[in-house]
Amino acid sequence: MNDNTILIMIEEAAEAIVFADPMDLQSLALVHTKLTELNSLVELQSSERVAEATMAAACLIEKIILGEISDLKIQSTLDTVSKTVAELQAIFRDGRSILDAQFPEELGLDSIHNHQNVEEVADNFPESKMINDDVIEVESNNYEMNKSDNLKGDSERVEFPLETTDESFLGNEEPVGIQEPYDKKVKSQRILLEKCDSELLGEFILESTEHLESADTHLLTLEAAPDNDESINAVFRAFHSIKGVAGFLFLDEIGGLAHEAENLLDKARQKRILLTGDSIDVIFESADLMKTLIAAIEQAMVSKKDLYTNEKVEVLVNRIKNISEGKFDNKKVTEADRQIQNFVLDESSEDSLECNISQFEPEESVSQTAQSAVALKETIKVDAYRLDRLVDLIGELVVSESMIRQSRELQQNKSANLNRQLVLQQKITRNLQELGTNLRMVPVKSTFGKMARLVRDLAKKSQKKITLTMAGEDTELDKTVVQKIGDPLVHMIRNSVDHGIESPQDRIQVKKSENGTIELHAFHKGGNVFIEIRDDGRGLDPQKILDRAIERGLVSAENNLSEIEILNLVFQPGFSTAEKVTEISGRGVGMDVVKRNIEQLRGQVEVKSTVGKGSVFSMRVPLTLAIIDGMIVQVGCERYIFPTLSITKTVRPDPNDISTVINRGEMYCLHDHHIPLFRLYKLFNIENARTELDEGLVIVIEDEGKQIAIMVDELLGQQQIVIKSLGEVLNGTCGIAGGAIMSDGQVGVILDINGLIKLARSR
Amino acid sequence: MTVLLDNSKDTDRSTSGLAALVGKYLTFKIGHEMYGLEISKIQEVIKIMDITRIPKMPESIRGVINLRGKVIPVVELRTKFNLGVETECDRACIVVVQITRNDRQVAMGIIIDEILEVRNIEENQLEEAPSFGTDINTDFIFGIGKLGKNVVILLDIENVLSQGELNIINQVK
Repeated sequence: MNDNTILIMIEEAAEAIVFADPMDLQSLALVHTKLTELNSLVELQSSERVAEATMAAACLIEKIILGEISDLKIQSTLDTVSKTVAELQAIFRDGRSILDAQFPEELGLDSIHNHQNVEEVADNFPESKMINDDVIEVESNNYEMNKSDNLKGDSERVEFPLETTDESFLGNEEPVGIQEPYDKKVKSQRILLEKCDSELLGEFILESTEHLESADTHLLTLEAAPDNDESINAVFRAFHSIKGVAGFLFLDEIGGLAHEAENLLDKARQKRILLTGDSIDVIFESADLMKTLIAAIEQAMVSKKDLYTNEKVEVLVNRIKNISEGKFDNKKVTEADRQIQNFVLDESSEDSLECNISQFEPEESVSQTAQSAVALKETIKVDAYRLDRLVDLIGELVVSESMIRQSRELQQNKSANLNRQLVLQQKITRNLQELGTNLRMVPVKSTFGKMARLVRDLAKKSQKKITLTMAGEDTELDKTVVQKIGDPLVHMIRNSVDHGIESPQDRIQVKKSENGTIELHAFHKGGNVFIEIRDDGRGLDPQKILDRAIERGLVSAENNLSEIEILNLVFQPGFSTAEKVTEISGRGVGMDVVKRNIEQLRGQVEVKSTVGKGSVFSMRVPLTLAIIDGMIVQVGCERYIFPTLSITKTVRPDPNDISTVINRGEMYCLHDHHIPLFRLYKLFNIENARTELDEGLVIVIEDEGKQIAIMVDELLGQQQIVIKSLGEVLNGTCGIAGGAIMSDGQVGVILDINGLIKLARSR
Repeated sequence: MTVLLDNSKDTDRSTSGLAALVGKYLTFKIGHEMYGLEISKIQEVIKIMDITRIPKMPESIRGVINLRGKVIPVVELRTKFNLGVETECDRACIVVVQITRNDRQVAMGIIIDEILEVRNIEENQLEEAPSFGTDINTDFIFGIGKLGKNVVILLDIENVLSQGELNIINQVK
């Protein structure tokens, strides 16, 4: 009752602020009157803190009226006042506890009459702006980029960057547009894209993609346990952050969608609805649609084409609205309430939209973020080029250090003290080297996370029950490798879901549990990383595969193939075992693409299977693409490096195995096959090389099924080689893959086997 | 070797005339001739070191070196400038320059016989690049600087590797 009177007063004050114009003293006076009235009311009936806040707000207005606040700061002061009112709304209308209320710092609650406070805070702003100019961006500060110039330096933001910055977005005097009703036609997106900085947009695309990925992971948890507060909050935060930045960048579509989804999530947070069935589905769909929208923006940015609105957004927004309304009765009231408020806000257009923010700012939000901020690992985005330079230089440091250590002068003057220092230095260099190689390493978690989502969707689509378990998500791989295993993994998972796991009925018939499981497992073994996809489905039937392969003409019936060889036929192009072509897989492409992709990564893929028990696809990928095993050979006085992977055989040739064709071309006889033989010194015009065949060595190399023999002088040894580009000018030279710094500091030339075969054959 | 005429020469230079060429130049010797390079293009000068030959390259590209962990190409101008083939003396150096290729800064080394000094070249010391008809390609020469009795050939380093040579590299692909 009393609270009701207060609430009415607060709403009146809110309205007054919306219409307040710094130039119009009367409107300011109205705000002042409302606030003082409110103050006298709450002083009697409510906590001291609320009274203090209203008092402070009234003081600020008074200062504006008296002209004590410089023109530049008037707007930010008004924002502070409107935020305060929003907070009051949260307390009295939405039932937030007074203790949790977050009154703007600028009010200076502890020293109400200290106007200096406002000045100070406002002055702090240039500092936070400086962060923007920093090239290296600490992720949590990214939002700083998006701030407009007249925002107040809110000291809270430093502590809780995610939420509070967004709050300041909303409090921003600019037409943010988030709170506008979405059925209203938005402005043409084309203008908007031009309007916002492409750099900001790029940042937004990157960040939102990250947010959506994390939202996906948490949504999956949420689906399994709908009352998991932590996940609800995480998803909420993701959407909230996207909404904030999208609003700032005038991406109304995304903002609107995020906003509706966020509303629904908010209700789930307040335990007013449970996220199951339809309600979680729409959230999933919103995340997907947002991904599509963001991809479209990216596309538009890259190709500089126009961006058009996606009609799906409106449909989905309406669906979300229906769900939140249908499930909850008093929601209708709030919804209508909001409509009215929006109407009012539209009328007042450009002014602060603060008065209804409290509705979307649930009380835990700030404290929650504070907690998670502590847990967040701080990451820094660094230019990849600089990182590579750093790793290069560390490599050089190691070489130059060993040169110094082995120099004769030093050896002669060695004292115990010098020795100790040298050992210390060696330790430091070794640590540096280790660190350098780990810099590019990231856990496979992100890629695995996407698979979880994929399994969920595929299982739904094919009406199967599948549990995905993951192990070793923290296994680290080079970032490029992690990105590149994504596609093959998707193919293999699809394959397992579609062909591997049986339908629930079938599973019950063969006395398996109704729930199929797919295990995704990553682990280190022998300098490589293995990723296994194990399912407990029907397994691969060798007989069926063989029949199919014969039918497709991939093998002939006479070939006596071992079981493993038969199973690996699934990686042949044009092989598909699905009885019928489904939406998910079975187009006859897939496994061969998988094999090719993994081989491009210098990896391998294998399959093992037991009929009725399930199958295991196992792929082996190198830790990094930058290092290969190389065989160093000598020709004349030059050194060349063959990638060890492409060498089939190295032999000292018996002249009887060599035959000539038209006395020019040479053939080498390998296991009764005749393969063309080329001399590297002739291909590359190398001087002083051995010309007699029996003095040299023959290396048989293979690429894409083609074999040739190459004659070299001799083998120097095998070692791990760091591949370096030959630079812009020389890159792409035929037969040469790149350079490598050898142990003596000179450059060795790494051969590109594919190009070498082409070069040899073109002669 | 066919050297195609490079038409993409910097037009700004010719319009603003010789005045734009005034500035500091690093002077050095290749054979008996004196050359100059704009100081702003030069990254560093290093002592001559072993160069790894890259097969199938035009004569003017001697190979690659390891410059503190980065592999950069090294260009030999002696053959290109018709200065005969001589073995390097111990004063020989590699001048590392920064050139722009495909909008990116890349480093490239140039073998020279002897470093001389850094000279300031004034407008009255400058002359247009001479023309010798089609026999001699002077596209990669900005102009001539007169230092007393000596003549410094001011190199347009961006165009020293002519389009023709780059084409050869690409044809090898």
